[in-house]
Amino acid sequence: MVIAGSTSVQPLMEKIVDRYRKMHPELKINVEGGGSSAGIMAVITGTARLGMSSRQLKMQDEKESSLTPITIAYDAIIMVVHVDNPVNVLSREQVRDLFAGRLTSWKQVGGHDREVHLIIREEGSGTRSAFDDLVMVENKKPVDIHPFALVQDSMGGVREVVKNDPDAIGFISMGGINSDIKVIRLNGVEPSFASIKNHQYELVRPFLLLTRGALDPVAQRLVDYVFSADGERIMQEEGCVSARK
Amino acid sequence: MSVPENKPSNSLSRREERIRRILQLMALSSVSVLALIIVFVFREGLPLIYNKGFAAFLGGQRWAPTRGSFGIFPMIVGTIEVTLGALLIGVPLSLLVSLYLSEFADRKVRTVMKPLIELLAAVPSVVYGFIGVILLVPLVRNYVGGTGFSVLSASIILGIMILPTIISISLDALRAVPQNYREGSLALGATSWQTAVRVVLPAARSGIITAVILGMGRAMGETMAVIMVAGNAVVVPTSALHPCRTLTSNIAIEMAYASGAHQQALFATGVVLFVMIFCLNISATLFVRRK
Repeated sequence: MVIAGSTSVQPLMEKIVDRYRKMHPELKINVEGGGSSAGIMAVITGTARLGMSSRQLKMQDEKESSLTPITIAYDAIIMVVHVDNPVNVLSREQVRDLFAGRLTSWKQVGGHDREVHLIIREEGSGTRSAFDDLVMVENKKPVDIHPFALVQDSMGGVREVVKNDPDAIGFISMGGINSDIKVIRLNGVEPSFASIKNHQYELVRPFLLLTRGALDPVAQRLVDYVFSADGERIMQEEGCVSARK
Repeated sequence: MSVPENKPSNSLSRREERIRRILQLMALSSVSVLALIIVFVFREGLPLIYNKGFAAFLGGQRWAPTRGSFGIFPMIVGTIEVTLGALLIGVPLSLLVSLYLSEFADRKVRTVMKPLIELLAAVPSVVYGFIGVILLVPLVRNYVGGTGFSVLSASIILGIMILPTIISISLDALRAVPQNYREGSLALGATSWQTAVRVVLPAARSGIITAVILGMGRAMGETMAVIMVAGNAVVVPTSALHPCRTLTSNIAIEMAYASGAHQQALFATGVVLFVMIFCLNISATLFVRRK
């Protein structure tokens, strides 16, 4: 069985499939990348049994091709600052302008008159691609992050820098929140499992599995495993919120 | 009498021959690993350089591999700046230390200090990086400016990391200067400082240059400690307080999720790094030969 699509969903599915195969070593399941669009195409053409997508189906042909989307998880971007930073609330546009380098002082968003230090993840990381997709967009066109943004290659790294630098702002995923840093309320909404699931919190993208027509029993059992307690635990480890009811 | 004596020596020489072969094979295998690495890195990396164009890859300012931009110019500059910064800090310090140990210290001091300095090389680089993040970066942020993650912080950490390499090799070079050079100089009325700086130091020049080049290679190749303190932003740093990304950091930071052209671009980064370090090592070897 081939599962193909979004490189953001891929690490999560690889973990889940790895764990699943420990119980069913006879199964041959390949998890491949390629991107959301490639994954959707692969399911339509039948080269993949399951597709992975980190965005809702939007194009007309995707809707007409009788694909069934299954939302397995939500990937939320949490904006974090130093605990002493007086700023509590930012809008999505303010976050974008901060990271684009258009706003350079905390004073411009209601804080002290100090230079903003941007902390980002490296190119290719899932959290970074979610941030690019959800925040760094203006009139549907991508906006570049300011080149002076400091790059960390792990969520722990971002958290460590933000914890120690009073002027820093960074982004992490839901699983990384702790008391070392302060969570920004986006448009006044506190990110939580509830506000993520009901879409009140804006910086969320869904992780979808796609199938064409009804699931066969083998695929159905894997999907059941995705929604099991085990699957939920793996999602937590990977920093996403399970869509399990 | 001669027959029983011949027999064991014959089988002994055959055994020696076998051992020689085995050792030869092992020596070859380590070289073939190098050959494998070269072939692999170049095979994976060269197509991308070729496709994007040599000038666009080496001279490009924008690095956004998930959106098709592959310019590593800022990282080449970052690597050179951080390496030179490390030499600026590390070389004078190591030369003074090795001059002291060679010319002015008691033998007792020397026999204690040299192994201690060499122990510096045994400290894992992640520990240097950690100390850098916890101590140095906040110091730079609070007393010098910027975010603290900077060319300056990386240079200081690397400057310390190359100390043992440069000190121990240049100390050996200084000790190798014949004693009668010193005696001659002192007999002519020179002070011990004049003797050390004007006679011993120039006499050990080629060894010291080798030490500096090897230290340079160490600075250029260091990854972990640099990632932790340099900030890793892809910009051409025009100030010591600007963040920067080195070539090695680029590979280590992005390899986890890279695929397709992005992965090739990281191998291509490796090709550039390989060529730079290869040139350094060749020049070090040439200096050793000249000596």
